[in-house]
Amino acid sequence: MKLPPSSLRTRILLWHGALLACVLAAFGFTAHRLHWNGELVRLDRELDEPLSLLHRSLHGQNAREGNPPGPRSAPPVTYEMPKNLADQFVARGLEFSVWTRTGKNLDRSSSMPETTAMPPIDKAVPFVVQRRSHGNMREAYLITPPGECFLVATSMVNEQRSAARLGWWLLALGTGILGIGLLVDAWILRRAIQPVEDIISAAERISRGNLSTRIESTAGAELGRLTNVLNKTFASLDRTFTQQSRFTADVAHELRTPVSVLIAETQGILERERENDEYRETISTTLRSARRMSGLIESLLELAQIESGADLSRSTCDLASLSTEVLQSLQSTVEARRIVLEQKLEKASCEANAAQITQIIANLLTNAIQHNEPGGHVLIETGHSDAKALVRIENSGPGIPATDLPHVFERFYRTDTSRNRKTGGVGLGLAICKAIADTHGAALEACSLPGGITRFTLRMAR
Amino acid sequence: MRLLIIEDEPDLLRALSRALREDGYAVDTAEDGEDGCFKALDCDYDAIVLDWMLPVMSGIEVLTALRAKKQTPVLMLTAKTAVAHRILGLNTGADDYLAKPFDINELRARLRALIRRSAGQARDQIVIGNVSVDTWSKTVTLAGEPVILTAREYALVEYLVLRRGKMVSRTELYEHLFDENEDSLSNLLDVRVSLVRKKIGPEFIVTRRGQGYCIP
Repeated sequence: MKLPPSSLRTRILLWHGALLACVLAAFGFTAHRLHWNGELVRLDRELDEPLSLLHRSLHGQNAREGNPPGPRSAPPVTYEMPKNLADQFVARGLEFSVWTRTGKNLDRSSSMPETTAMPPIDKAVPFVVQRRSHGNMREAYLITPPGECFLVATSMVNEQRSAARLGWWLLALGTGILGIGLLVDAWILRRAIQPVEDIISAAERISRGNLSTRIESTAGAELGRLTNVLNKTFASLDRTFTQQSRFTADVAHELRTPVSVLIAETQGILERERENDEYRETISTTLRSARRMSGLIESLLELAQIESGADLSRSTCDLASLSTEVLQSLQSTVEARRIVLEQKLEKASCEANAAQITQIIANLLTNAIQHNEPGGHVLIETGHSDAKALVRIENSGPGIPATDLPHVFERFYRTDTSRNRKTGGVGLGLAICKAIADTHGAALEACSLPGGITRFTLRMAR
Repeated sequence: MRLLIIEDEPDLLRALSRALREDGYAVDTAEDGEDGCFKALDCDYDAIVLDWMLPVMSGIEVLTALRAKKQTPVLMLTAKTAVAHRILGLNTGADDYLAKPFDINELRARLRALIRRSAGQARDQIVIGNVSVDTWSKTVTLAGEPVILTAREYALVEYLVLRRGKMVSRTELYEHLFDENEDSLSNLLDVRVSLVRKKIGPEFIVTRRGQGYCIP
């Protein structure tokens, strides 16, 4: 998997790595120090006994040679390391050195480096064992009150080597832990970032035009919520685009028939000389087709306007009085088709755009009259029910087949029986009604009742 | 040649049938799928122009019902233009598919090609002795000279020429050269045959008494 240098994962990984390295270094350093100090303490303890041996032997000689201890009165005359002690020291790998109170080196072991200087005696507390590291030697020394100095030393080479070994080992261990830590970290990060990657790849698929893609649901509260929100957004985008493309296809389809008529008619008539009557007939056919296209365009614009939600000023209106207005305008059609009209108008007030609600009622009533048999029956009823204002329009007639009922509000949907183009209409009337109802948050339903009765009900929130 | 047009848009149906009648076809019409299906099964058409979206029975349903019984060439003429629709149409048994809006001359050419293929002719030009018949330009030449025929006369010649050497009965000729609105009991066919003989030559069409006509 590629990791661009600026990616969130890289940065988190680098920070974690740095932090882990610091912690490991601190631990390693402490461990090394503790080990080294332990070694020094052990060495020091080993030096304690030889130092006291050395001191005691010199002290014994001083006493024998009448050199009473005193503050820097006189240097001891001579000092000689007892042979057995020296052998013992050599056998144990120890070095020693003895200085007089004037700083003169009285005696020292043969392999004691000459550079070993006498420790400073000013700060030293008499008879307290002092220690120091000098090169690869560990030294312990004792200063007597007069200022004589006994020093015992042992080599630290082995200890230094083992400390170095420990150091390298700690370094290797630390590096290993750091590596494993980074790997684990990268794995955790990858798991944590995976939902983000999923979201990104889903968004990429969508941007390439595959709108049906969704983000796989992932655990985790924050990203889970984000995923839900994005999926909802994608779904609504998808829906919108599908509707849009279906709508475009529908429009193209609906325009094809009148355009076909136009082309076929005019191509046919232009092929040769015709009688005047033929020209007249063709021109009236083309006019009819043009009017049909015009009607389609008007309805489409109307639908687009309603759906854009523009011009939705609302006021309190009474469904009963709106219905009365519509009925008056349809009076002549009702009479022409000898429709028996029944009205049950009760006051039903609601907040709505009066012009649009009038349009719903007009469309529904026109349908009820036109898709009715001559002499049929139409009922219009307004009133209140369950805290809703409602209009109910019923008509007798051929009725709507059960298979068509769920689709009547779809654009350009026509039931077989109503598809006769002689009755006009472009198949958008009920879609417009539904769109208006939707922008008002109202419910518009269609149902078939026994006996070929079709009932449309509009329920408005009050 | 007799055609059936099944189309629910009255204006388009009228324009189509006028144009095709002027070409010399005998044209029957149907405004819904059920009527169209009945006619298509009842009569042997030379070709059928079929819309997809029809009341009562869809074009596809008509095609399925027709293909169960007959091989009549079918051209689907529809506003359904999607590739999936074309495929479904052709797979259901349509022989050709033309999307609306269409050019009427393309429709003519496709119909001609359909009819020609169903008669087993691959070329437009058919030569019999010194008579040459061009089904594309709908013209007949005799020894290189054009013969002026009316559309209906030409239709008779073309029908017989496409079935050269076969005996064609009077009933069959009536069925293919006259539409449902014409009286098949009249002597229109005899008149037409004698007019063609006058223009092309008495031996061009042979009469077998009691059997029919034939171009040898």
